[in-house]
Amino acid sequence: MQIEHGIFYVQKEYFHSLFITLPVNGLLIPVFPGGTLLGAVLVVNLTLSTLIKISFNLKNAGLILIHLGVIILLIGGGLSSCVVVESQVYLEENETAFYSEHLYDTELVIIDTSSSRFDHITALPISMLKPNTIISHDDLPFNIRVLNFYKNAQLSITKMSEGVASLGIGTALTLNEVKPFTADDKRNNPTALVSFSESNDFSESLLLALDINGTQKIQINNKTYYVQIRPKRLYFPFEMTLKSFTHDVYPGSDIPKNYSSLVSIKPYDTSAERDVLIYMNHPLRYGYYTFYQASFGEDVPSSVLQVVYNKSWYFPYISSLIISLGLGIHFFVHLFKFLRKRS
Amino acid sequence: MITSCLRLIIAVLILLSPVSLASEYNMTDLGKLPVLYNGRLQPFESFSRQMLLNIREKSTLERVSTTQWLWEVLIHSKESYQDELFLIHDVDIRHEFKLDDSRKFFSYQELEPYIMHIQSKSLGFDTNEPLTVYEQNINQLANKLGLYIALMHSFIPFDDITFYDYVTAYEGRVKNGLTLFNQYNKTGSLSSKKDQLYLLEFNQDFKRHRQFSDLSRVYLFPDPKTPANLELWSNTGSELLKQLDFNYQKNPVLADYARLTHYYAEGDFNQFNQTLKSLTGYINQHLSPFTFKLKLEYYFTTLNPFYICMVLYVLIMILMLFFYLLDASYLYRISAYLCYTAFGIHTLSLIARMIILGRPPVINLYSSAVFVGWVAIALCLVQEKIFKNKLGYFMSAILGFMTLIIAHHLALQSDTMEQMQAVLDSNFWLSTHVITITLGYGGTFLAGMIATCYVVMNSLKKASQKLNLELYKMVYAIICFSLFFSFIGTVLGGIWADQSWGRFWGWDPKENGALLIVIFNAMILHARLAGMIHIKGLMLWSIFGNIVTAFSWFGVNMLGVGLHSYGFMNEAFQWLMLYNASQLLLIVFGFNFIKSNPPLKK
Repeated sequence: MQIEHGIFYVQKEYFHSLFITLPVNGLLIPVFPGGTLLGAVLVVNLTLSTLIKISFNLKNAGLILIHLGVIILLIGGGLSSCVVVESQVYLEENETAFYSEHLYDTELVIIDTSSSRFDHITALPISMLKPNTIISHDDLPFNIRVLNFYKNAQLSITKMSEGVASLGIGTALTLNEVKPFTADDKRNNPTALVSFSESNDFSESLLLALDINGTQKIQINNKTYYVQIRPKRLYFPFEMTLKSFTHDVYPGSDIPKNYSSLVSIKPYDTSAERDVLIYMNHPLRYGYYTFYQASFGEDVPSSVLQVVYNKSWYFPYISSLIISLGLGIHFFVHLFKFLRKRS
Repeated sequence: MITSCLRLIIAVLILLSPVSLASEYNMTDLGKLPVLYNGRLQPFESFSRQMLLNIREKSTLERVSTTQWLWEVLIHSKESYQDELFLIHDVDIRHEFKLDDSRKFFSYQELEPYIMHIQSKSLGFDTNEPLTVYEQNINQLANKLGLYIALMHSFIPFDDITFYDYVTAYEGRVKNGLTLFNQYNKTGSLSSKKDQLYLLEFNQDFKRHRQFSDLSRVYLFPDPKTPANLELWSNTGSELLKQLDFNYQKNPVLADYARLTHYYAEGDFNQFNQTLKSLTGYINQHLSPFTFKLKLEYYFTTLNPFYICMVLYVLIMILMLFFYLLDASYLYRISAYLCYTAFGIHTLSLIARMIILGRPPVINLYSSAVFVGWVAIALCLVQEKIFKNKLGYFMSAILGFMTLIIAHHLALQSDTMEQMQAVLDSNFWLSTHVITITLGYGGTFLAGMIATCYVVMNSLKKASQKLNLELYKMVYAIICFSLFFSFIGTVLGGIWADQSWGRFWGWDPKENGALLIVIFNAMILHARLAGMIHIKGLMLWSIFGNIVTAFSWFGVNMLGVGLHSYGFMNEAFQWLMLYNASQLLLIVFGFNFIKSNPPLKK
């Protein structure tokens, strides 16, 4: 499965699901319980059996700790699969970034630049874009009608005069719907055909897609907005500049010894600017953010950092500690008892 | 068996004798010279064994010692062309190149006419498709030939001239060549035809050395100013290029190596040994931080202590079998002494490896096999001390032999002391996570071993109720031990993953494998507690534990996720399946033929 589809897809389909399903004639038939259901049942089972089966006394302290730890571990696991946000940031040397981009999630943004002090950005998750729906948002003085949406599509320049849209770059493009990719190294190109209007006149259409770089301009009620589908962003509480990237190998060989990125961090709050070295097995932790050395660019000195935002990262640590403690107590209590009995 | 023992004794005697015979080339000292290869400074002897192993799939040759073999390859000796090195199993390939069908090993000389053909064939394969067996074999042969040719390019690529003559001639040309080059650069032309030709030839030298320095992976020459800085070591090509620098200092190591090639070609072993002595002196003086480790590794490779252990373990197995047959207590005592000796050697060798590498005992699959065996034996010996049921030494011997034979086959794949990939380069995690997880593996295998003994002894009707109860206690204790360590190991693995990849748990095959062992052990304990299994059930489940552990140890590497699963691993997969089948058979057999013991009283 994983050879075919890549680990992200497998995780989603098997471990982060209620049921593992098998498509039969277009209907999804649940065959096996998925990871989420299994975990939930396990938590209930464990809690009840710990409460009922184990008598609460000092002799069983180890056992109680073990089961308590496992319960916390499972809850933490379930929680983190909901709250973890994984993204990446690519930095060339001396480049600065203040956000990272999701690998899979995308969003539709509508940017209003009329204010001189800041841009007003409205971001809609891509899951809101369902064909033939009308989206209205409190921040927007107009409605959006989704004419069509494709999870993955291939865009090409049209040879004939007419493109798929009546406005923007889409006037020169045709699109082919493609089956969504599941492998780790291929990215889907979510594409939407939308129409913007403050009265309900949705006659014009605009093509938006992840593969279209940059924003497209729209005019509504003599006001200009910029719209785009882009990877979902994770904003940092600071600015990060890559000062240098190094890639060491063992002398006289191509075997990589270390990759490291020296970054400088300029927080938005009052704390001081500082330099941090991020390298293998030594990520940077900043609040709930963690930055890891993930990869690097081949052509220019550049670095790819994996950014994980996880509010529940300490769960496994706490639970592991409890379980290890419980196991240790239980194991040694029994060992001593056994040895005493023999002697 | 006896011959290999005798050979060992002779080898030890030769190693310990202070004076080497004076009428021969001193290959011992040559074997101790440092070589920087694949990022690791190692003695010439280790390097040559590794090369021979890669090419011949055996680390010995009948004709000469491995060190001498490699030396002769480096200097293009005629004899080395005739050594039967290249292993060709595939009958189709033998037929294709009209090779003698009664042999399996072929010499460079025999294969030389087909090299271009083989190489271009191997380059033409479509790597996107899975390769057929024939294609894999051609690839393998092409790689071996490539390695051999690369080794021949370590000094110079010519057959008809010694390295010494080449270097001397080149050094003579450098000064004049540089003058002409500068003149040409300034004026744009050279007046005489002779000078033009001279510069052209000099330019050829330059190009050749450039190519060498890019291609050769064998780094022999330390930087004369800072010899201990491995980053600045050079191969022959780059060392010869350095001579173009006006401030170039003559490299004494290069000069000595050149002289060695000269005296070897002349057959002058006195001078050869003298030069070697001066070279060794220079190395000892300037590379003092490394000399101890280099010497240790030299003796470690030549003695091959794990092989000695393997022989001893087999011996113990035989002695113990005789003991069970004859019931002569002296056999048991001898086995006990031998077992402690073997375990001692096993331990010392592990320590020696740790010193040489400066790393914890487990750094790759090979060393995990050695360590799993060590753990299982250590536990087994402790249990023998406690229970004294005369099974401990026998089981230790079987476990030791099995794990070492696995290690032996894994060693055929690559340098067992290879450098760690960047993400693994962390002694802290290697010594915590990896050690605890292997402790868990070792424990589960021991539990399976004891359970196997239980099945065998009960089916032979040799087991008393008391013994069964004791075995049961042993297995139970070991499973608790395994659960404890495999859980801690898995958790530490999670923390390491959290530190290096940003997630505690990612459902990666190797992680799932580790979790499987934890869940499996926990399951046995719960089933016992709930009264679902008693003595027989616990035993049979523990045998199944062998399958679970073998799967998460090796099986997940063979799933083919992100790994190329060909070559050895294909073969290993068959062995794994065979092993699993044998264990299943044992379980089925035990289930049907062993009478259940009455439920234990609480």
